Amino acid sequence: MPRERRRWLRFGRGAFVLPPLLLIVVLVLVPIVFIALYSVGLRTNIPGQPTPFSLADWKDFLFGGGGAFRGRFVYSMEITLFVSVVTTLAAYPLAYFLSFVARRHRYALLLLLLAPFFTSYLLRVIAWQIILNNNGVVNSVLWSLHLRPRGNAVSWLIYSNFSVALVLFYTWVPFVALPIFVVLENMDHRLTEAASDLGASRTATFMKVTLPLSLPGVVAGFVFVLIPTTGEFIAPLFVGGPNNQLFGNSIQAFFSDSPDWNYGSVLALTLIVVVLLLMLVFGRFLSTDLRAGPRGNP
Amino acid sequence: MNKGEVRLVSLTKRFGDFVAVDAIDLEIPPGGFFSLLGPSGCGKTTTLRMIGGFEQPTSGQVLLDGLDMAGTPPSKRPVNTVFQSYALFPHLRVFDNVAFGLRRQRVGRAEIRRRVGEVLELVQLGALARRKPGQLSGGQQQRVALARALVVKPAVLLLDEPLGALDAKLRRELQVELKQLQTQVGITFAYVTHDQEEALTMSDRIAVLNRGRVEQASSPRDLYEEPANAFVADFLGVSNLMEATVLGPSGAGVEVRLGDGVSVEAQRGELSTRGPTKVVIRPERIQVEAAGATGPNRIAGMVTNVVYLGSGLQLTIHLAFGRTVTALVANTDEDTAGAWTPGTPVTCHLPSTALRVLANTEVSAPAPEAGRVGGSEPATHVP
Amino acid sequence: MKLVGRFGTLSLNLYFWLFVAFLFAPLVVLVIFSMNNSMTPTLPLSGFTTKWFHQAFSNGELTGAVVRSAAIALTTAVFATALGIMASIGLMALRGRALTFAIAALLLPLVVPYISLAVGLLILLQTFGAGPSLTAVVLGHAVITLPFAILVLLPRLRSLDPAMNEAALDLGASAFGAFRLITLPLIVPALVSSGIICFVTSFDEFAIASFLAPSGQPTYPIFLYASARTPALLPDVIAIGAIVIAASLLLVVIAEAGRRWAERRLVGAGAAVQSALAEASVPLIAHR
Repeated sequence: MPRERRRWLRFGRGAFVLPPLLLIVVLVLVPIVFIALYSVGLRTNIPGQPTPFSLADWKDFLFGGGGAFRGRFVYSMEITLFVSVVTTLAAYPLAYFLSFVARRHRYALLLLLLAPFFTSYLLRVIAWQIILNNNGVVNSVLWSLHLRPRGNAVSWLIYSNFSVALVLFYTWVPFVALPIFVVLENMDHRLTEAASDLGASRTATFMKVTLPLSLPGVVAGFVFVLIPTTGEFIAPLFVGGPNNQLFGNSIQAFFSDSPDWNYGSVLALTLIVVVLLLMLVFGRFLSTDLRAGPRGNP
Repeated sequence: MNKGEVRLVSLTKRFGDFVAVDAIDLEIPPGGFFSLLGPSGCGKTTTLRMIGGFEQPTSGQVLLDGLDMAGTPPSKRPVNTVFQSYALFPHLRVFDNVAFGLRRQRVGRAEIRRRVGEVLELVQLGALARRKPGQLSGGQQQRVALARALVVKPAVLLLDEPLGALDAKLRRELQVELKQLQTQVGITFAYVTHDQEEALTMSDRIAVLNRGRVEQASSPRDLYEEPANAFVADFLGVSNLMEATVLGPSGAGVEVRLGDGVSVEAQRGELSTRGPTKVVIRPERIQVEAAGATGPNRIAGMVTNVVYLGSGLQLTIHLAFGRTVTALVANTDEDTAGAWTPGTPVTCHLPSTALRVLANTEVSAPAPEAGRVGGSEPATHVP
Repeated sequence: MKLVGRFGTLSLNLYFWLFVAFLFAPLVVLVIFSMNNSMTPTLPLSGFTTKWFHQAFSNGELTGAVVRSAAIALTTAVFATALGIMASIGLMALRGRALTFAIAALLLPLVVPYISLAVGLLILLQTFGAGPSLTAVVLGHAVITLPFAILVLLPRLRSLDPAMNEAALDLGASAFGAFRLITLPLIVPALVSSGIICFVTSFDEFAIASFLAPSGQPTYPIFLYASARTPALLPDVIAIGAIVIAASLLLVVIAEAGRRWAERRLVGAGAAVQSALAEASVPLIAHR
């Protein structure tokens, strides 16, 4: 049998990746390339404008007059980091509860924890806006209980760092609890048995055995919230004030309100690069068995 | 036309640099029970898969009743496979599993019902037609796999270690059943196994494979009594393989020196061999006599270990010249068990008609004549 | 010695259940106010009413947006799941560097921030002279949900005994026949999961839709954004929101129950629970 035919047969099924791959190339890689081109001025959305290669916008953003955007970038990173840390800390006891206390019903309770995640994110953000609003649930409860004079709203509740951070925290905690739960589940419980066998107290067993062994899950959870939050822009739209807009909002603005696609592309590309770097640095903590071959194949 | 004869001509399969099957020539005669026997990694499963069409040969041919199967996909070959994992379709009932092949052939519904019923009776699963595979035991699943492959009336049935997942007792029962089934149905069975006892029990003919090559292909008796080389001798049963030097002709055979001052006469095997080589003798042929017995081919020794097998005793005997052999003594009467205990001095009689001289090469050369019917041609060696 | 003492058990229980209350509070708030007889969602409550639902359903723009989003989400789900199956079949046949590259490329959308991708697609549209369209939205949604589909379908496909497919071929089925009769029925739970995940993701997606949808044809998230600052529209939004949330939660319960039932039929009870966890973690981009 001719060699070429044989090789094609083996390659045959692999070719099925091509259509999906084509979609990715056209709809993800090509747009990124265009963003890059726009960022260096080689293309423009303004008809008739000349398009020489220019790093002017990059320089402006990185070193020059784009201080406001640099500031917003730093602010975004601060919020992201803060939310990631707090979320991870809050998620740990939930995972621990599921794995060690809830034993028999843990999967059902996990589903309970995750269920809100499957409802519309926008609706949940809007719901928080209703709750935290100047006329909202929290304030009207305070007024009804006469803890505050009616009409006098708590100022920092809405359109503040607090509201943005709270919404992000609210969204991601169940998500972060999941990898921690998985790691706790897979942990060899004989190790904790051994520890208590050897006389360790509950606290010591936790600090010296459980916690260190669960760290991979903790880091994975941290990464799970860190990376998406870097690009977050929806929460500030609903519950953030003018001082609480994140980097993603800046990008959005450049492509809608005041269209400067070149400068906007600088910011968009920056965001892509930052997320990619974070993935490269932290990605190793996300184990994946996607590369394992199918069962039983030589 | 569909007699079910398989011929492999210089069949080779390479995975990258690794040669799984190395230019083997084999004939599987029609209508018999043929086994491919060998240790893990010897290429037997790969060979079977090439016959079935699931692997494409790197070179060489698979001929089925004279027709070259190259380019023919599995669905079009008159060959069907019983897989090691049974590969039953878990979402279909037993009936639909078995009917699957018939439906692909667009057989009519009434006939499907008839034929499926027949084959399920054949494998004694008639009552279970409505069950799903998940509700069956391992042995039952295996039979469904068998029925599914048989109902489409292949010329050759390929079986890839189908009994591997079953416990010993069930395995022995099914070995007998499979053999009976094959005789009843008359289809060529090509059976892959690493279990030499299984192969010996069931087969009309066995090909012993090692590292991609056929070491020897012959009847079970010939392979066991007249192994062509050390590998075959050692793979089938206990061989008591011993280093020896052939000195020259002696009586009806040759004189073989086993060690310092110990020479015996051997009358079987490659009697033209001279110089350093190996000899084999089967445990059941060694006659264990009382210490001090005299006569030709007698060696003094001492029993070092006794294993009570129920049907007999397996004695490990340390011989005077340094080698250890295993002997099998039948449990003829109640006193046998007590007669031999560790530490008992004995005399081992190695009858010259049971002592076989092997050819003196380390590596067995491929055997072009190995597939010939009726002979137990040992592998020809290349000097 | 138990790992968690009485105090620990008590406090962890308290923490967990308070947190669950915290998680569901906004959903409950929406549902309550959807039936509250007042233009503004504020306490104290003003009495039960269903008029907001009537008003919402007669709000043509709102219902139009919901229907539009549902149609886009359905198309996305089918399209992305089909592509996901193709990708999974292909990935199973690849090895070594080709496999690594293919996986990295196919999962790429997971690490590209949606806002950046959205503007990139906008640029792409403009470059080829195409205007905003719902088709563009579907394509954009398909590309971001494709990784989810793969993450659900590939492990399921991998768990199948490859010998089954060979057995089907051996018995005379064509390659497509083997796929249709053997593989496809056995991955139905994963197909459903994939469909649901893609649907839900697309339905709720804002960034790409906001840039690619034509201005007179808003999707539901776009409508939400536009109307969230309009107090007059708020009751309508809340009413439909309550329905959407109730439907989503119902969907989660049904999907999970249905999946477990299907697993039990095919595989067995024990495995059903384990894979429940595996598939719950997918939309949350978890790898095992």
